[in-house]
Amino acid sequence: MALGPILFTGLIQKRKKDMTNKLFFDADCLSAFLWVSREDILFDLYPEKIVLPKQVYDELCHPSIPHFKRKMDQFTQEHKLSIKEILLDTEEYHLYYELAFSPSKGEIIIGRGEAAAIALARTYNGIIASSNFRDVAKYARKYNLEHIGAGDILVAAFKAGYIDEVEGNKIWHKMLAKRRVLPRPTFTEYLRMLNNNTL
Amino acid sequence: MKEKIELNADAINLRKEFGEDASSPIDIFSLIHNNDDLTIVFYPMSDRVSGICIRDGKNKIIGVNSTSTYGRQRFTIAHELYHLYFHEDFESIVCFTDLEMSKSPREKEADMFASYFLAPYEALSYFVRRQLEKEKQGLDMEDVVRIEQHFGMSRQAILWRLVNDGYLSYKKADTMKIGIVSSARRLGYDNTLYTPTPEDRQYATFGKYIRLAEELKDKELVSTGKYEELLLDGFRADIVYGFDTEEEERYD
Repeated sequence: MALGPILFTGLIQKRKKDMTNKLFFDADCLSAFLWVSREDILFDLYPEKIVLPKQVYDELCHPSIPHFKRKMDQFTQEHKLSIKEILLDTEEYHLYYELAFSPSKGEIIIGRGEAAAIALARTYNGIIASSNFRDVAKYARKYNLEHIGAGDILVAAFKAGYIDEVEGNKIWHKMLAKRRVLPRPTFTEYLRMLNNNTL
Repeated sequence: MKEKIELNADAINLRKEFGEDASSPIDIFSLIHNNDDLTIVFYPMSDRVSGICIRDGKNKIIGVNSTSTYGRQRFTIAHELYHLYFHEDFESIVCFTDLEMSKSPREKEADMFASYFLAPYEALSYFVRRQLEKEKQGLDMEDVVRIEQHFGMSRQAILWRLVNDGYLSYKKADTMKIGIVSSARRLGYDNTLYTPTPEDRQYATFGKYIRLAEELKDKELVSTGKYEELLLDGFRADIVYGFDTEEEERYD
């Protein structure tokens, strides 16, 4: 058997392994942290694991929000996050295209950023970071992928001791003020809900 | 090419269609909301380009160069309205800034229409005779400022019109092409008419596109992410993320 295909397959497998447990963010989830200038929480919790699909980067590069582009470029240069493109005719491309442009009958069109995050997370067995549970959760279940939102990230930061409850509530309030979707009106209520669910 | 009298009639008819009378100064930015099929996109373009228009079925899209002055943007919208409402055989047209350059008859018509749309023939004539109490060829710089301020037109647009309608000679108009802002300030006007949109507001979309995005969301035909993506594509981060912190909503 020729060595070329074996080496190529091995390289692909290695790349996939390197991406495992990476978090693939959609625009909604990342922008929640960009707006409140608490990206540090993401970098503390997930060092070198944050991946932005190129579609998400592009969506947040619009000239009406120039500070987002500045921040993303700076974080990329500092290797705090990476940007991942979806290449044509790859496994992830086919799923991305289906979700964003040509969904199955009965399914709605989802955003390019959401679709890219799902497709990349599936291909590389990563985690979807999206606060849009209504539209994204079913795909996470379908492809058996871990799925977290901005609220879960704040809870993880709280448990890791990076923020306390008061700070969590302040951040929560600021995210809501920027129309970011969170599961409860306050951080405290969300913590209480999680505690009740685990009892 | 159509006669001026025809273009003036077209302008008055379209004003009426938009619910405006035949003589008052108009707020063209508000007026376009009276048409369900219109979308207007403000976008910085080259100095040579004043705007573009696109027709796709019932959809009518006007692109305005937001780096041009407020007065010129008003003229551009009126110019593009002419293409959209009176020309049949096009899908998209790019329009140029210089009113005096050699243009196709279609572009000349649109320029003349725009001028009459903002300042109908009779309205301008009445303003000169009754408000300024001047005769043709008797206008000075102060009169020109008052006319452009009344009708909301850029200096280039008003001089071009006044020369075309025989109120000014080319030679006299040439002397009024400089000191534009200072001539208005000396008469107590602010400089809004003569300045471009502030840099942080040069990108925006209004009209049908935004309403359609809302409709898609309300009918649950797209995800929340797709809805926000559509709005960001239309440079409407203000809708996606709410007001900036320094810009609070007021009820007064």
